[in-house]
Amino acid sequence: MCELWRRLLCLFRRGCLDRELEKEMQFHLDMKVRKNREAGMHDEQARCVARRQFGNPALLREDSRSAWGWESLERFWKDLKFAVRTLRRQPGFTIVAVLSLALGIGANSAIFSLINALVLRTLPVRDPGRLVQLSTSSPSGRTEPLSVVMFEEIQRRQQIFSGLFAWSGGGMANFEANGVAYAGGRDDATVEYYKTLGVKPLLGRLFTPDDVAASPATVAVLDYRCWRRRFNGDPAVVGRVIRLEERPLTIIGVTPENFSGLLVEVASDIAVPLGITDEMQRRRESLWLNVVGRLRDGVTVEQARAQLEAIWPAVQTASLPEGRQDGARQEFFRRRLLVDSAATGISYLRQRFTRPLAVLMGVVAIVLLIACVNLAGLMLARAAGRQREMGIRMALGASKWRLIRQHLAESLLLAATGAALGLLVAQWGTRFLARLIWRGYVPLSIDPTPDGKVVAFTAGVAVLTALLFGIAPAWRGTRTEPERALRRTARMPAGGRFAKSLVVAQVALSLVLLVGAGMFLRTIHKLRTVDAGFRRDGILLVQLFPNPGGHKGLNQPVYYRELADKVAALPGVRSVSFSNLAPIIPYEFKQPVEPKSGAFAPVNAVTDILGPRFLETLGMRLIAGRDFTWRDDASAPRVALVSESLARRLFPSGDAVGQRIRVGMDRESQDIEIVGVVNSASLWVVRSREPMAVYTPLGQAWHGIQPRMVVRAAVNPTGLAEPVRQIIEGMRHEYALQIQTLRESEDWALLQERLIGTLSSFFGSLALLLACIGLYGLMSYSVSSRTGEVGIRMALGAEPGSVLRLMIREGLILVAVGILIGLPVMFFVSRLVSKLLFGLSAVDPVSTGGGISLLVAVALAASYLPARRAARIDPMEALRCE
Amino acid sequence: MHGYGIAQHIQQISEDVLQVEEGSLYPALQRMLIKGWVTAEWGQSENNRRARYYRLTPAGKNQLNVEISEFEKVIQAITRVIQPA
Repeated sequence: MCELWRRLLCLFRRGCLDRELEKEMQFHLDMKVRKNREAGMHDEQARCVARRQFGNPALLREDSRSAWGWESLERFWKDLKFAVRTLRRQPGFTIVAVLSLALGIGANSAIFSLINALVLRTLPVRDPGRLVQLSTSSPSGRTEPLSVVMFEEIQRRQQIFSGLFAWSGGGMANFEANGVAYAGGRDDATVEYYKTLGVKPLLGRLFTPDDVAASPATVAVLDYRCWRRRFNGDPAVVGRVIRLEERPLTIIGVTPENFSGLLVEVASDIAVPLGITDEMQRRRESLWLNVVGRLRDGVTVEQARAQLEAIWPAVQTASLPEGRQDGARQEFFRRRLLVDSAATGISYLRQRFTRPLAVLMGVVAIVLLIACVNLAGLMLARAAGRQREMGIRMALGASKWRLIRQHLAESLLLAATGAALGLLVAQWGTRFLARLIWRGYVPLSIDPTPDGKVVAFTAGVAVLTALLFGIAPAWRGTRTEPERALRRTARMPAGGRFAKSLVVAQVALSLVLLVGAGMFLRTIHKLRTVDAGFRRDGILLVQLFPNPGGHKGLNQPVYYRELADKVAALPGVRSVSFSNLAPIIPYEFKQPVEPKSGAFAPVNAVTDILGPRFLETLGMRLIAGRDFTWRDDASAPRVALVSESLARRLFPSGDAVGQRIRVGMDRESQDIEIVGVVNSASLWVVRSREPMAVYTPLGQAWHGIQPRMVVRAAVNPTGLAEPVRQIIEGMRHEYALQIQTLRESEDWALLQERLIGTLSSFFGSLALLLACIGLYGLMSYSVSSRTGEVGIRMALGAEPGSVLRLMIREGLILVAVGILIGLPVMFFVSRLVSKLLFGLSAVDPVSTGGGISLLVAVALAASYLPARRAARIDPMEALRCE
Repeated sequence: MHGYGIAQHIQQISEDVLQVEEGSLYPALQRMLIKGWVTAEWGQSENNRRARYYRLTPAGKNQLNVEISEFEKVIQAITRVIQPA
């Protein structure tokens, strides 16, 4: 340890130590001279002999200095300074290199940063690795929350959690803060919420058991952002009031800046204590609680899973909904309890975007690879220009490794500068991407600033990049023997096989990107134009949301009917209806459906709630029976519509109309009559073909949902937006939270594909441009180095045309080899992303053909000019130069 | 003792059998400095010149003993090998 300290001291006092050593050796030399003089030699002779005996002082000093052990570092530092000087002398190359590196490394960082924020980053709470989430497995394979009774039973029987709480999953609400009314997000969580997570308040206090005593709640905890934005960061905000749906809540505290709740993508404005006493909340069929617990010290996730699985049967028995028959009973008991880590919080975006982000990661990795290959070519050309310098150095005794280190220092410097710039590019890119992928009603709160992981990733990529594009040219550049390099007519390596293979690599990679882009663009086109079983043009979607207190005392079915009639009376409106989820939302909400007779096992079908005239509004077909009417309300018997595919499945022998079915677990939907069969439209996810669906009428299922109004316009739907909004607001119960056409909604649903398609097109074109430049450079060089050969050919009678063809053929051969190498890679890649494609075979001929033609065209263009120059060579000039 | 003095001393005591090259003396002294086996300080020499004096540290003395015992082991081994011959 002391030794290291002494070495460090030497490093910082180098100059001083150097001078001391020199003085010391001078003294030694003088003593020797004196001794020689005493032995009888003359002054001059004494000095000579002494110096001869002493040896080379410079060498001695160097050897002594090397004992300090910092030599490699010093050499590296010198290499860096030299690299700075050489790069400064060629600003064009340096700028191009740094920019292309910044783009490549920045793109990689941006995607990784987004992946980090969505998938990798842990919650900013104490020891997030000890947090686990409990959920149940639904029959259709999805994970679902727990019911209130399940939560309470687990709370009673568990012994492995030091803290356990339930969270509502977040929701939207109307707020009034500081006199301003707005719509924001709310979190409802049981009293152990903050304690289990380990969050300390920034101001005031957090939940205590007393807060739950009053139900509905009378207190709230503010999120940091809400505090700053809506209350201007008032330090005396504790004790002030915020209104939630017209109810005043006293603010008891504010959470710190880095905490934004369990949900990764948004920060709710407030958290309200949840006391689950309400009868509707406690219904045993309602699975709505997200349960999170903190494991006790020393308990592993496996142990937790084992213990919970042991108590789960008892919990199930205690929480079984009443009046369950055998089929439904078995269904209920078949649910398993799932225990997963909650260290990275909960995210709805994560599920949806992990795969496309992975694909994008691949795309930008290829782009970086292309940039590296390009740079390698440029570095090779530079190395060619420094042959003499390398030759002299090697003649003076430098080892090959020493020269390579010099080249690597340059590469590292370029990469480091590119990475630093790249981090800036990444910040901007992440923000841009994050805004693209989220179009919720509450603003996104993903923090795009790079944290330690992103910086480390960027640094790692930079080093890898530097090695990738630095080593090969360095190796090639130092291969020549010193003697040949010193001679002026040295053969330069810039046109050799290595340079050619670089261009071939660029062509292959560009092919992969171009064909990939083509496939995604075609996928998007197919998804937009495929017959989904309903008409997609001319439809306006209006998301309704109640004013504060807007639903108080309101007979909602009557209200909706009145609203529909008013809107239908507008000029330019063909028909109006309502729906809960459809059309075009990026997931399908499924529940088990079975015939009441129990003849068949339950089938998972998409469930949705429709108003009357929905079929007409969306251009769907009624195949048998009738559509819903406003008379299908709470006083009438329960009815449903089914899709043709579901009808065929459940009742293969005959007519489904008139049959009775059971849907899900709700007690109101255990005896439903089918009144109509409609075509199997892909109303939700366009990709799923002929989904099995069951629809319930709005008049019977309006509880607890916020329907969307669906308007079919005669001509242009956007023109209707304002009149419709005025009608809604004129009725004073609700307002329009969002109005968009179906096509706009479709754009949002196709976001994954559009994202990849756009980015890969952009990068593909960039790659094509780089390949074109690379090929052009190579061909130019080839022509200039073959001037003599061409001169001889033409002197012997070759036509300019044949010379032209010769040169162009060379370029085409390179591209052909690149294409041949790229095709199997592209095939492999398309297999990897096949899940994201639609309507295309594994080797889509159109995209592949398009990519190849584009590359060939570019090859012709790039080779033409140099070839023309070759054809124009004057044989006399050429032969004279030789 | 200063560097020159060390070289002279070794040469005299060993009666010219061991001659220390300056080329190996100073690097060795630097290494010992780094490892903390000697300390150095500037002082006045006999002829009123400034010279750097080296002194053994306790750690250095330990190391010296270790080196001596190693060396003796080697000598004994060589002697044993030679003796029967």
